[in-house]
Amino acid sequence: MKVKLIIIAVVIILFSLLAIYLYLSWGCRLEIDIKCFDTVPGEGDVWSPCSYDGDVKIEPEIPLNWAGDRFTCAAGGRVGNKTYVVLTRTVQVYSLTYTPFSYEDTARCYCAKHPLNCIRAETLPIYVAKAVLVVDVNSGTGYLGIVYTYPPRYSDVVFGNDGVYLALRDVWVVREIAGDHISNCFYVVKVRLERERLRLGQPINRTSGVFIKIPN
Amino acid sequence: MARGLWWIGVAFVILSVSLALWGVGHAGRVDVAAPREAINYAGNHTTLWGKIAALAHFDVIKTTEPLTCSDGVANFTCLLSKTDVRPILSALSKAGVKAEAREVGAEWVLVLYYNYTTAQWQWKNHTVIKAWELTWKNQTVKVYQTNIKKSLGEMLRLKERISEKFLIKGELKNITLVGAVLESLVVGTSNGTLGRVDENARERIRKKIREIDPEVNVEIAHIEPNTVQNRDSVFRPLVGGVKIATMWTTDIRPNSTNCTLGFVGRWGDTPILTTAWHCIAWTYTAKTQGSAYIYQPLASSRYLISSDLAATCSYIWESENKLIVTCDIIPMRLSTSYEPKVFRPDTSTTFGQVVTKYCKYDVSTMRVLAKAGIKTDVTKGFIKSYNVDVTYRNQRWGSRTFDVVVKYLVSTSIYVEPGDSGSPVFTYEGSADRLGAYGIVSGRFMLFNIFFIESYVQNLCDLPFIFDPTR
Repeated sequence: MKVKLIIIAVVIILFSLLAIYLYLSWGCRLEIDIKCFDTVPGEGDVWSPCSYDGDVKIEPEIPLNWAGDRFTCAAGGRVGNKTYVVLTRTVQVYSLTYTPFSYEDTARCYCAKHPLNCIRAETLPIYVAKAVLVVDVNSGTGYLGIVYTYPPRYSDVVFGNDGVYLALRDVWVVREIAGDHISNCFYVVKVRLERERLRLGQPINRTSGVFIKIPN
Repeated sequence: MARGLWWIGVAFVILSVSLALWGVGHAGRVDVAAPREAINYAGNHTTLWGKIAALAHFDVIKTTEPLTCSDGVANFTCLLSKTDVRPILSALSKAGVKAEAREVGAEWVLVLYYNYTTAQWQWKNHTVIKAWELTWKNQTVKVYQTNIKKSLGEMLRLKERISEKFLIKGELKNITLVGAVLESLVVGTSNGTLGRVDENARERIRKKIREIDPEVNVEIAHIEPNTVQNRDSVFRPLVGGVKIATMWTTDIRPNSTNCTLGFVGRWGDTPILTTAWHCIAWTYTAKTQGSAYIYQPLASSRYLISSDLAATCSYIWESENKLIVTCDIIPMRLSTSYEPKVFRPDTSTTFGQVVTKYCKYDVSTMRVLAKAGIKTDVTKGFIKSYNVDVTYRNQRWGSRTFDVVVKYLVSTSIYVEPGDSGSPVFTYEGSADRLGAYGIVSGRFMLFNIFFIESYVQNLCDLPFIFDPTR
């Protein structure tokens, strides 16, 4: 009888732990395609500044911790007969995992991943990062990555004959909410823009260098 | 034919007499048409004067808004009326209010109003034709019949026309406000300086309004409405408890955070700001050598408030990945004007003056401490322990990841969240706008990252010099 009770207690505890783990880890893995790009030598035109003041709809929705601002146009130009635009927007990052998701999601997923480390003291700054969204305006295909501090400006983007070249260091995404950074990678998304609110500049100078090339 | 005309004449006489008799019968009755909207609006008001003004708002009756009045002896609430009391009683009756009116003697009444032109409250004497005291459910209000030019409803109609034309459609530039106060139309303009309206703008506005209503009294004031300040606003002079952005250079790239500004004050004659050291990721140690920049409220060169370190607390790198510090506070030299104040130290007040500073043991565990931060605004609590050493794991500076042990922090029950780092922590010195500076927010302890256990506060006296947050 006593052994039976112990077995029942153990089973209940194990099921409770499993339930807690399932709750904590629910949705931590992001089911979004990720594509990584090479850093290659390239050549093309730098376009003068662009502007965009419309809405940006991204599918699938990524639960990023957006700040209060909107997407703004960093660069826009033509690659062959296609139009590409590079948009940026601020995201907030917590020092718990240095990933750009809400504190609640970050804390939950961190605890699922590091149960022994999740009883701890923490500092309370909010790190500021930028989402970089490269969009093929014609097809609506977009590539979304994160950079710290310096988002690309129009002069950091080169429009070549076969793709967009980004002069960016350390663009990253994560596969799971409290996961490690994967460098030179982007989420692959579908993007809907209000095209009539996009104003492109024009080519202003030709340049070459080593860049992240999108698409491959 | 003649016979037919005779009957028409008789019918005309009968009709005329009937109409005359109907008129005599109704000569003493006042019938006020009150739309349903006005009745509902009056019904929603609870005071007698509120109900009367609500009816006047829809021009059902011809009174003013409720006013502060005086008979030279006492102040009371009154309304001025273009008519006698009968239409008022009739309209109130339709709104379900059976008020009683008693005539009272008065030859004049003083009315308090705000004069926008002189920016002062003033009393104005009105000659009284007749006066009544209205009573309903233990409430009384006095109604004075005077020679006012326009009632509330008439003023609001005029205000609507002016507002539509000049404020909404912008036919006159730089109009910032259109309002009605008693018999006057108030027009605000941004054309002017330091409260004085530009004379050309004043004449232009007067002329345009006279074209619409030549009789109305117009007050023109220099009014530039500002949105309500919050912790994200620009503060010059700088004060504590507001949003700052930091940026620091590292071996690989610059980084940036949002934190809260702690206290501002002086080290000798040097103006200093304080915030949490970790807000610049422990920059300025031997292994984290870079430059740090503090902006308020956004990281943009025009908002730079400091780029010059004043001092760090003592520290030691115990190993490659463990830093031990004696404080989590960074004092930086200020390059902008400041006032020794904290923005919204309590929900009841906009600014609090820092009048004193407390070292660690000056504040007992019984005394309320409060903090003002960008994330959780004002929260309050008590000291739990005066001395706790805390390890903050997984701190990052450039390519380096390390743990930091902060010695001798104060643990409290003040609730904090990410973004509150650096917030000023203070006592209330008798009132919500007089503060005793105690420390700044460093961090918190969470159980499973879900349950808040306690927050950590860095006392100001742990700085390596005497910091005066009161001047």
